[in-house]
Amino acid sequence: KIWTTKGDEQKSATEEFIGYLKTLEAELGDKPYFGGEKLGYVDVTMIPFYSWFHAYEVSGNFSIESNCPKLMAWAKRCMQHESVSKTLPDPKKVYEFILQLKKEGAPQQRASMAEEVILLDSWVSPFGMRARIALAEKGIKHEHREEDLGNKSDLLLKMNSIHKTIPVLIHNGKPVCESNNIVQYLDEVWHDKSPLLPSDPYLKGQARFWADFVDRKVFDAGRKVWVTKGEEQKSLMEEFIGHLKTLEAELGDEPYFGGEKMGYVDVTMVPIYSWFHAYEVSGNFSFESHCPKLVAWAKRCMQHDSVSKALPDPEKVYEYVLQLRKRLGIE
Amino acid sequence: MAEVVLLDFWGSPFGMRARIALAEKGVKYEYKEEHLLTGKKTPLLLETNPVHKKIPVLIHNGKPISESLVIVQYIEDAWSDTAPLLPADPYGRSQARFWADFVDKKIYDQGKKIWANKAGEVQEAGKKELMESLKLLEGELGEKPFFGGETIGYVDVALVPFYTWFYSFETIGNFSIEAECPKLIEWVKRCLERESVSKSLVDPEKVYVDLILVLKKMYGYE
Repeated sequence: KIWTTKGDEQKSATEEFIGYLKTLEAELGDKPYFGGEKLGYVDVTMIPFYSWFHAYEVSGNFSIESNCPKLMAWAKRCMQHESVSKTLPDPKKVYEFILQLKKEGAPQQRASMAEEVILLDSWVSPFGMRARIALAEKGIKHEHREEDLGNKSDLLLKMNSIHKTIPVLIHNGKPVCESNNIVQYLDEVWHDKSPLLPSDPYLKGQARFWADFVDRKVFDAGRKVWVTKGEEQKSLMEEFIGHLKTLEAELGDEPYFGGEKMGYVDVTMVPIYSWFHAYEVSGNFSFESHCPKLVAWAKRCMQHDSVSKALPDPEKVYEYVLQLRKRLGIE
Repeated sequence: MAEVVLLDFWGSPFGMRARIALAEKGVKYEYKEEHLLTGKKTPLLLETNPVHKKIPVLIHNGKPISESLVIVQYIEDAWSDTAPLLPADPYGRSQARFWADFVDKKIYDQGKKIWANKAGEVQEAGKKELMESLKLLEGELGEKPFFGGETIGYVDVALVPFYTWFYSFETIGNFSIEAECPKLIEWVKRCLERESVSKSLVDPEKVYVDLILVLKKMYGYE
């Protein structure tokens, strides 16, 4: 019922399912297996469903581990037996199979099975903001999930096991990581709405070059400013401003980096604007006096709902930075 | 100027990426060597990559493109009808970009910790980190002949040039990459069977003697 329903029906199916798992968990008690010291009849009956847990979790958007940790421990214990581990299929393949089934399902089911798009994010992250803007520009319905980076969810650790960072886009259960990668992916899948990258190979190459510059130079210097102080911080701020001036020169007299409309480089760069106030107060200077055209460009972007709704309140960002520096023992 | 020009440096893994991509697509180009060890950069390099002043730079009909992975993607887009390096489906492309980005984030810097330092804490950290990264890559390769599947693709192009620096890492760091990642080395040999790769990669011993040891002296990393 979890993977064949949506909304309230799915919610109550999930609760019912967890209820039954908890009943089993209580029956297991402190025994290693339902059969006692060894695998028995009930273990054999129940363990195959473990290979479907991932599919349930993604479809129903919940974690079995957090509800029934002892049952999960039991399942992993069973999986140490070759008889089990060689029998059970790869949970990811099971999920793909379910997606196929859903596609081929009854017309009512097909209609209710929309694209499932989830964004694992953190409100203050400029990288997360990029994904938010791209999703909004393309009008993509999605579920936004705020991650507590001090206590990362199982889903995040599973979906981005390599870097364990946000943002992570999960499209029909499959993760896409790295913010610029996510933006490009969205641009390719939803290519008919608000294209962000130009189709001409050379212009595309130029856009990619500048997005890379924003990442490796602008954002990198900008980030380091917060974890330093004194002379080191001062010279990093100068470096940061230098990079902004380079970007300003590249913008020239165009309204956006994408030309007449916002494009890939605009989406990559504008999130840092929500951090400008924090930089200005900390460094006691004004961006407007160093790169007025860039500030004008940022304000132009902010007139778009997709941007203004994605960027947080600069005051809140400043408060966040103060907390961060306190925590790191810098202030 | 020829229609396609590549500003490059013989020992650069980043330059090798562009060389392999151009060869895969059968593109004729003029190779121009930047003599980086002299410390002097040519006016052409400064003009075509004023932002970073680094090689490789691809100049196509007079228009420059910089940053090795941006160049490879450009080559893919501009010569799209032969030897595709990226899959057609968006998800497969995002996976390829993720792993190429992983190579970029990890391999060069971790390797540098090894070759630019004497035996000690930093070098040991570099060895540990590099082996972790290579093992993750080996895991991603799995049972496939190439990262790109049946033929070489974007991630293969991004990673294989670093093989030319492995001998230097191993000699200076006194360890063996093959011992811990045998499948990865098998993959390298498979790549080297392709002319596009064997003609673009340089001799690892030459890299050690004529580049790494020279850099160590130049920068006092001894």
